[in-house]
Amino acid sequence: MSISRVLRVRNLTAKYGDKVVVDDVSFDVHEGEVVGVVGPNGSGKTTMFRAILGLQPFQGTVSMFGHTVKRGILPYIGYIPQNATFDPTFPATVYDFVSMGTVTSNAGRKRNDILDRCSKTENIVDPDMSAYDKVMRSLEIVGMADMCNKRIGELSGGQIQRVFIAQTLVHSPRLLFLDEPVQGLDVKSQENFYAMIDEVNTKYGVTVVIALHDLEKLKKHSHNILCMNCGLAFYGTIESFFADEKNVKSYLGDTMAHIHTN
Amino acid sequence: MVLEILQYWFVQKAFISGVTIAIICSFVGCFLVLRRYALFGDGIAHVAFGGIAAGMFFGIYPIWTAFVVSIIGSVGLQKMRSSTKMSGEIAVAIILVSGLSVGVILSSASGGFSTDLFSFLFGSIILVSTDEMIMIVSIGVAISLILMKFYKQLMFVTFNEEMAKVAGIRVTALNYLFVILVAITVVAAMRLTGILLITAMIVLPTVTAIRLKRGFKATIVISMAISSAAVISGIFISYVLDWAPSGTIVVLLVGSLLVSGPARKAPKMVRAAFNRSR
Repeated sequence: MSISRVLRVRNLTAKYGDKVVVDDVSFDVHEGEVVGVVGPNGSGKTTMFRAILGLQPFQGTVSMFGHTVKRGILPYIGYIPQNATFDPTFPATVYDFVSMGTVTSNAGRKRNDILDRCSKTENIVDPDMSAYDKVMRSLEIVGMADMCNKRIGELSGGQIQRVFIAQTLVHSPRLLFLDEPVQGLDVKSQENFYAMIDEVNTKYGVTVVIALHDLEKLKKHSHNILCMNCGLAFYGTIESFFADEKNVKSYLGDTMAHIHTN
Repeated sequence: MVLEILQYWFVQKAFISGVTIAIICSFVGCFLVLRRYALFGDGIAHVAFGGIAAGMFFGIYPIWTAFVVSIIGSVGLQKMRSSTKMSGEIAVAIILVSGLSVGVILSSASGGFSTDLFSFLFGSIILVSTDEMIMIVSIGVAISLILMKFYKQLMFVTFNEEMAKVAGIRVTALNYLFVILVAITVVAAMRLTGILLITAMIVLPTVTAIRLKRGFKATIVISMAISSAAVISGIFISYVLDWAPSGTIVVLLVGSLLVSGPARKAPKMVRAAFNRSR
């Protein structure tokens, strides 16, 4: 059996502090899609991600692969939070860091059930490999295998993001949530990062929900766009978003909207 | 002289107990320090003081009451921290003074500070009994096995709780398990450094090991080695010079922290000097 809907969000309402920043949002994400989430700062992108992942209380319903999310614990989900900063003295090597991902709970009944619902089921990393091989395979995919003994505090911003991705890939996720993952990266590192996401998406059919500010990059790398402004301002294909200047205006303002739609 | 000291059973007991305590304190200490929760052990030690005083007051073996009260205190501390969004240091301060004040009241009610109470405050590893040694070693083995079993999960939670939660780790349950292990470690370690210096065993070797910039496993092993070396040499020095073992051990740990900076640079300096001489 194969179903195409991997994420279903209905009437999601969530608060940041006492303020409602996600108000009655509903949308679906289908298998193999890359969905770009845009919106001004404070529009509720991060709060929505956290609510979907069960990291904060919310009203409404969220289901992934047909399972209702209650406590945010589902196999095959990968997440890189916004500003995933860490103490640079943290004594972990790249290998240590990625190996943490090997303890995720991809076991049990739900695992097979989820795979049954996916049309592309090729694992990014073979689950039968030893923990060491899994980590090294994952690092190879992101091009960081030769740095496995380096401490994570000694890496550049771009390398850190690759290692974060490697850690999520190690348990072969089917759905990735990336909250502004290229923030603070130089142009080359950003390009490398997008190329990596494209590969994971096209080769293994991994569905990606990615929060970004750069509309040009979204045009190139995503299929759908979800524009947040407390509520859902727009959800549809990239083409339909840019076809109507009103949509872009709601996000960028008049001048920039003119540039992007012409 | 060295061999002569080693022949005494009380010294052997002190070594075995001391090294066991050094190992488990370093193990839990690594996770505590990296979580910016270094004073948690101090808070629990003061709660344990309340437990010790309660045991003496009610005529129960004080170590047992210390275990019970410390475990309750550690769970309360974790609950306070997670459910009220209170910062760790404030929660520790509240629990610390609560435990201490109850201890002071109970000890004054039971006739003031006795020699026994002083030995828990400042440590008395030389006086450790065979039964206590067996208890310490059993606890040490159990705690080490549990920490090894959950090593990667704990490392993940220490790095980023939210990422760990999304990855499917039962963060809340793991946090409670961890604080209970810390409470047990602290009570077991009271015999070595005493309540007042327990933080040194938890914090100093880890901080020293972190400065040497190695991986996670290596940091834990280095921390254990530094701590064990300080315990062994501290007991020797204190025996020879008739100093208090707890204070001597802690001073050695502080010393190792101070020399860890230059020690890290030493290989580079030696290499540079070697290259210059060629």
